[in-house]
Amino acid sequence: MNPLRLYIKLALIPFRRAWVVLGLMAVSLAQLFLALWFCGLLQNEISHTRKFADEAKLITLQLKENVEADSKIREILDGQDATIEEWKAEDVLSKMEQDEPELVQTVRSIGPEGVQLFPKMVVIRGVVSPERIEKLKLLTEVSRLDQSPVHHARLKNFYRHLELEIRIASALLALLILVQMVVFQRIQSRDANEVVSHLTAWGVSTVRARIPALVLMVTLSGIAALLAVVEWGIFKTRIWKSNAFLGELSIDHALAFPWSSVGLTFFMVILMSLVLVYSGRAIEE
Amino acid sequence: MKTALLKVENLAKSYVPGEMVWKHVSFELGRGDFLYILGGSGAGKSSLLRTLASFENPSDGRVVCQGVDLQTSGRSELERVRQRISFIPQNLGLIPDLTIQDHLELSQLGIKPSDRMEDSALKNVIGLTGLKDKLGKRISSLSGGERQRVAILRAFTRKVDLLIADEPTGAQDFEMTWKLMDLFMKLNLSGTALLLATHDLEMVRRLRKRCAILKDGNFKVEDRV
Repeated sequence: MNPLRLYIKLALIPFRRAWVVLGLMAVSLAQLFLALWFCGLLQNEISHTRKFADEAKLITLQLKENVEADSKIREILDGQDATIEEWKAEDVLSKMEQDEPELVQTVRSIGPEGVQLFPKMVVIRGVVSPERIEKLKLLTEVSRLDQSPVHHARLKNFYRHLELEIRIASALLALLILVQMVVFQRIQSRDANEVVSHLTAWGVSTVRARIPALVLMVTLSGIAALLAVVEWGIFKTRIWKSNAFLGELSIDHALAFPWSSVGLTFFMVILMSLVLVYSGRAIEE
Repeated sequence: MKTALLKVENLAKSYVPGEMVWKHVSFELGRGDFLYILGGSGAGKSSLLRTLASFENPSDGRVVCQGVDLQTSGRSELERVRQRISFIPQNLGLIPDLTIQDHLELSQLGIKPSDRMEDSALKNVIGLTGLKDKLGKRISSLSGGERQRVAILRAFTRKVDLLIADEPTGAQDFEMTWKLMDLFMKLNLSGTALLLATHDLEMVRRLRKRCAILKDGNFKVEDRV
């Protein structure tokens, strides 16, 4: 005799009796899971972007003549959330053309010697720690380092609001999941009561008699979670991929699975299952 | 003198205020005793048995089973009492989606391994009930008579002090009825007290056992019919 096998068999009775209703229930629960996890993903991304917007700097390095420091700079900035751009003399002239057209024309009229008057520049944009900036300053190839914060006031404001709105949306989705579970518990309460009264009639404790109902709730949530993961995979490869045209704004480059949201969802579902299954008295208990 | 396994004192039941289904039910049942409860359809046999088996509360009086007052006992005491009782209800209490084997295992779920019927004895009962080749079949695919035999078979999976059965052979043919009665008698001889409800007067006459008659809400214990 294997009690676990019996509990699972008893738990799956409602699936046998009303598989269409329970199947639809699992599908709808999966959509709520998916939406909640997507909110979790956005929240992770937003907090990351806000941090970037708060701390991002524009650092300009002026290099000494005829030196290469690209690899050393990249080595120092390894692991930092920053982009590195190397500006040659011609790039600097092109950027200056609009503001200082006469100066650029004069330099160009001198010929290659004139162009060589302009130093090589490296522009770094992003979040760089003060220690790394000190290291950059100490490089012998660097003759000058300027830094200034990048102001993203509008962007920061927008993201602050968006974060709040996503939190509200997440709370509402969590509420919908709980309501869905209550509805599900009501749907299968007749079957669950039948099992409880059957087992308690044979002297099984009420705690053990309710295990099948708990297994059923967890199984349904598990099926819904599995469906949500499959949908996540499909969305990631087929739909969110198309966001690449948005470039830097695209989220397709960092679609990390929101494990914290998934963990929170499961904690919530198991807690709610325990409350629903073990609260109240079943008929004939 | 035998100690009372089941002590029923002045029990009464009413679903509608002022209308008693049965009243003044008092009797005692010791180990190895046998009592038939005889009554017509609608006399209240099923509600009386359900009350004695702890599945319904009486309106008045008390039931003491193995020293435990069923009306005032806590959950754990009630569980302990139910582990020592087998009850075959009139509606059989089977789950249509499960197999016969599942039901046999479920009835052994709440008890210690030492309280389970020995495999050889159980196999013998399975053979006598004619369900040997159907253990893997779902209840929903069985006939009414077969379902009734499953309910009886399930009651034999554990060693109990008291077996309460509500018209356990009502859906059986003559031959099977006597085979099953033979099983009940053997169980009774091994020390299990039996409380059987029936409206089959002929069977009660033949077996010549103690009998109680439930009629017009009154309960009277007779030595013989």
